[in-house]
Formats: sequence, structure tokens, C-alpha cells
Amino acid sequence: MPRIPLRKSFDIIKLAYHGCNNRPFFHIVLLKNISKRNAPPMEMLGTYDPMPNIYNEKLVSLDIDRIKFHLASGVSLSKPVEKLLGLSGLLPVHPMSYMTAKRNRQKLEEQAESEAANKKGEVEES
Amino acid sequence: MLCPITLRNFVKCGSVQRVFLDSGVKQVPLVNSVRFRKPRWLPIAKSKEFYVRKPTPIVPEEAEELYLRYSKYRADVASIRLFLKEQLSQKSVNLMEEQEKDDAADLKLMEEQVKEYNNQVASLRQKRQEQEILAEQERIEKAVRKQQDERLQRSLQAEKKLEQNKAAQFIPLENLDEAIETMLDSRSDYNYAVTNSGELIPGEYPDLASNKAPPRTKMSDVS
Repeated sequence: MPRIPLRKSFDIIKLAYHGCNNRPFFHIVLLKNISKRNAPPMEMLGTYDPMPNIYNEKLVSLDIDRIKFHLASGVSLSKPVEKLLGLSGLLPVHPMSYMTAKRNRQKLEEQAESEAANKKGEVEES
Repeated sequence: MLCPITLRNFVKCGSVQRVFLDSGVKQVPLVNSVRFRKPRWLPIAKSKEFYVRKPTPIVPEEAEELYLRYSKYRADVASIRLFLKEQLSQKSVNLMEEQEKDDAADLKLMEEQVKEYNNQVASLRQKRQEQEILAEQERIEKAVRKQQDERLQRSLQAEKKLEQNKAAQFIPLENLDEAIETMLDSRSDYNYAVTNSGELIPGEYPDLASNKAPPRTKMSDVS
């Protein structure tokens, strides 16, 4: 029976889900790409709480020095981590962040237009 | 024509559900996806028999923008990585230099300390050695004196003894002939044998042999 060839193994900084039901919480960890999601990490580099708190903030903590060191030593980054680092200012803003923002903006504009059109219609009717 | 299902195709098509070949008659599935969740022999579900995944819609403007942004982003990240690497190596070099400097300073300090200690020990040792030499000399002098004393005592005693013996054994000139006479008279021959029963068998001079134990010349007789 043909066996699936082994995947190439390398170090990667990625998010590890450590929340519970309906309460996501992520650890930013250094792991092998082939290791399990919540495997004991080689190094923990920060946390990310995607749920906004009462001040409407999503809190992120990062060990910048260590991340710099790992970047220098050629560790790869997962996409969400790239986005977070882009927003934190260590790396340039990720293209997908720009794209999401653009899409959101378009959505808002469309909404505003439709609302304006609705209002216009209501005024004309009255 | 059917393509052989090679390992590469097999794995590659993990994400693609099925590839159909339009042979004109009917669609034949060429490659099945790997369904890790299900046993290999389970057939495709009835509802999914002719399902083909629709490709994700791509907006050309967005795609173009993303392409440009991604190429710039990758270049930027690569340059940042390079910069960080250089910084790191610089840091390590600086650290090494500092370490070397510190090591040199430590070594110098240690050398000074050792020198000081050596000098201290050397002075102490010199004092001790001087004392030891003095003590040794004194001891030798004492021993020599003792030896000389003993030798002197011995010689004195010997002289005393000699004086005494001299007084007993000395033969003056007047008595010389007499002494010679007595010596000649008191000759004895010891060249004899003794049997088991105790009899004497005389040798060359039987007369002399009769004097078994020749009379010893006493000092008093001589003088």
C-alpha cells in the first residue's frame, strides 16, 4: 500500500487554541509544524484574546525580543501570527489585513448607500 | 484514456474531491480523494456522487492588488529578517569582545594576586630557612664538640690504662737476661694428640709436651 510521504518538518510560530467552548483564547507558541495544536510548546511567545473586553479591546501580549531572535534565526510564521505582528508594528501590515479592511469599508459604503436610498424613497413616498 | 493513479496524484488530490474525464459517453471519476475520516472501501455518498467543488471566486482587481502587496510584503519581511540576523550577529560579536576583555582583566587581577601571595610566602620561607640553617649549624657544632670530648676522654682513659699496663709489663734493662732465660725455659710443645680415653700421644718433642699447660709467665714473676 502506498504510504503518504513524511511532511517536511520546520519550526513555526503559531496560535494554539487554549480556550474552551465559546471562549476562544490563543497562546502564541513556537512549535514544529507537524506537532499537534496544543502540544507542549518549545517556547511560549505571547497570548491573544480575540474576544473584545469591556473597552472593546482585543488584548495581545508578545515577547518581542524572543520573536525578533526567532525571526533572525529563520523560524517561519503562520498567517494569523503574521497578521498580529503586522498590526503590532514589528512587521509590515499583512496584505490580507488591507484586503479585509477594504472589504469592510466597501460593505459599510454599500450599507450607507442603501440606507440613504431607503431614506430617499421614504421621503418621496411621504 | 485513464491516467494511472500514482502516489503523487493520489496525495495531490487530497483537497480536490474528484476529477472527471469527459469521455463523451459519461463522466468517470479518475481520482478519488483521500478521506482520512472514512474507511477506504466506503462508496461515495449518493448525494455527493456527481458533486464537483466550485472554485473559490477570484475578483481580478483584488487578485492583482494582493499580488502586488504580497510581493512587497515578502520582500519587506525578508529584509527585516536579514536586518535582525545582522543585528543578532553583531550583538554576539560585541558580547564575545566584551567577554574577551573581561577575561583578560580577570587574568591580570589573578596574576597580581598570585604574585603578591608568592612574595609573601617567599619572605616567610626565607625567614624560616635562615632559622633552620642556624639551628642546623648549632646542632653540628654541638655534635662536633661532644665527639671531640668523647675522643679526648677515650684517649685519656687509654693513656691511663697504658700507664697501668706499662707499670706491670715493662722489662727494665737489668732484668732483660733473666726475662729471656725464663722465656726460654718456659717453652712448651703443643704438637700432640689426645685419645678418647684422655691419654696424650706426644709429638716431636715429648719432653716439652709433658708440660700440658705450660706455666704462664706472670707479671709479678717477671718484674
